[in-house]
Amino acid sequence: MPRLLLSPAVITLLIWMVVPLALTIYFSSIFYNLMQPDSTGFAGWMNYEFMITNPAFSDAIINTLVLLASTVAITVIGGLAIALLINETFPGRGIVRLLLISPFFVMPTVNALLWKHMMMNPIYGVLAQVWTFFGLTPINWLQDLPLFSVIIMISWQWLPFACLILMTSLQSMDREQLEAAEMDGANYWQKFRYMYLPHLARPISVVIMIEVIFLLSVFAEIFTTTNGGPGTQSTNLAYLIFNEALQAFDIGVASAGAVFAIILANIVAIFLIRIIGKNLEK
Amino acid sequence: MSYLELKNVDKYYGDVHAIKGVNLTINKGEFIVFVGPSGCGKSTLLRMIAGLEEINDGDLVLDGNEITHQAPSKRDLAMVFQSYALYPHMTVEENMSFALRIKGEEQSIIDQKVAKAAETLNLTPYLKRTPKELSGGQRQRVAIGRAIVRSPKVFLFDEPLSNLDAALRGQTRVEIAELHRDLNATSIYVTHDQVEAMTLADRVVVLQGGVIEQVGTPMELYEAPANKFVAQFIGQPQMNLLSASYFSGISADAVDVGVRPEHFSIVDAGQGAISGQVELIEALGNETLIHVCLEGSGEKLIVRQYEQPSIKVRDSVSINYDASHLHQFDAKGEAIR
Ligand SMILES: Nc1ncnc2c1ncn2[C@@H]1O[C@H](COP(=O)(O)OP(=O)(O)O)[C@@H](O)[C@H]1O
Ligand SMILES: [Mg+2]
Repeated sequence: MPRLLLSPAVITLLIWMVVPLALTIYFSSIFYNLMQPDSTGFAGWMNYEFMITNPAFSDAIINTLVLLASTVAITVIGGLAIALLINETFPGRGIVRLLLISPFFVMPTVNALLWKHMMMNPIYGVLAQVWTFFGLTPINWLQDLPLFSVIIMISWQWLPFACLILMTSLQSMDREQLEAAEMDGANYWQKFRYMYLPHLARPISVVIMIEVIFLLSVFAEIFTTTNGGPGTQSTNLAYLIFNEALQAFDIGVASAGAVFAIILANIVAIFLIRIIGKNLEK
Repeated sequence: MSYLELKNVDKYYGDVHAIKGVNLTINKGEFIVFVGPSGCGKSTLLRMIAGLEEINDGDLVLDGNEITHQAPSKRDLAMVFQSYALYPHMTVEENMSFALRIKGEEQSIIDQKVAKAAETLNLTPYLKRTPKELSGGQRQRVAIGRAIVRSPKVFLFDEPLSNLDAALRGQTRVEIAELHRDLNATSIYVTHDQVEAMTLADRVVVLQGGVIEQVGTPMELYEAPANKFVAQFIGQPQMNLLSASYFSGISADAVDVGVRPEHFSIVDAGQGAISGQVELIEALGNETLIHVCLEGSGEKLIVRQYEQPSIKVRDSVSINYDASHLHQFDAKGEAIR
């Protein structure tokens, strides 16, 4: 009986997952190019071979992982530092907190355009002005450091999220425990290492989990700024799939790429659960 | 020989003057108890000694060194918190050895000290457990163990028994007394419970509204309270306070006279100095408390007697007092000696 009652939800979810998955796998096994409607039929591993031998593929995987790892590292470390900093009371703390959170409410495309034009433009961007002020040659961010630029944009967007979660859980830190540690002779670093860090282990795991889910499929920031270029320097897997499907119109190859993306996501998930999953069980 | 000395220390929380110029001298090995009603500043004073609250004015001297503005970590004091404040992610052993480990003490010495403290406190079987796997009483002992292991100059306790149930509280009180006898360490103990104060203390410090009302041994406080507040705070049931007109042969300045319940006795009608009507009889087995409402003024008093009473509620009774145990207070509430 309970199973029967659960079934509408379970069945909907299954359809939701299984149908697109089955279709993706099906498309990846046939010739399906919008520009060549005459080539049809079973393709075997051809689409997969096409994807793997594409020189952009390995770049895309590496870029995806670099983007993921750097952004998670920057946001967690930066978010932790800021959260600890504004955990102390000072005048205007409420406003500072509000301002810190606000980037999270900016849409990804708007965020990317803001950085592209306002901050990183080599002629009139704010960063260029700063560089000129110090007598340096302005950096052409999106041309010379494309992946790094994208990482900066995404980190700016996700830092508030990490900060918000860590900030709230710092507030539940027991004050007497810190005082006890202080009486036990702990300095700030020892309190950080033995009190704050264990207390924050779980929220940090949550932040990493959620960020990984969203950052594996970054697209809008790349699409609006670098278009994956120059060359493949800022192409990640999501962007490569988009390229295959809607630039080269090869649905078959794009679907093969999507299957790789699923596999990559699973590998990352297994690692994650191994490393930080145990923090969540407590 | 003073070991810890507070010289005119003050504490302000914004406009609130929480501690008002407290002077206190504590000797080495003494067990001092701060007692007083809730909100009188006991915890604040203790935390000022610990260094957890800033001292706004005055000096604090420990073992010849002025430590008024020294960081808590440098003072070499150990505190047992009301919430125990155990480190939740560490085992009992790690909790107890934390201070030694971060000081860089040798592992063999740490092990030895922890084992000894655990032995004393009956915690040996629980060393590998985390605090959440322990009962309230065990957690409390870990908190004490964490303090013992450090052999600090002074132990500070902030209402350590208030989270325990009544039976465990009595038992732990005895254990703390034994521990103090064995270690002979200087201790300051905060409580609002006068039984704890009277049973544990070498000297009791009675606080009210941020000032010290009286310092003395438990018996001094009981037998010679310095003022009306101390007289009524120490002793259960409270000391009776009556207007001086009921008594003869007392100082001309006396406004109120205090008499402990055991220093009243019920006598045959017409024989006593005071007469009234019995309102309530509380028979507690070992003793009986007789509540009497006085004729005329309507003032109330309690008589304690150890024999079974022969009187009943609403009987008219005559009461006599023990003239050698009167506490006379002047208009300001100070005792007249
Ligand atoms: N952090 C604080 N901020 C403002 N007032 C405080 C603070 N801590 C204590 N007080 C005030 O100081 C007085 C003494 O408090 P406390 O020492 O905690 O009392 P006790 O421990 O004797 O119950 C109280 O009136 C309390 O309201
Ligand atoms: Mg208190």
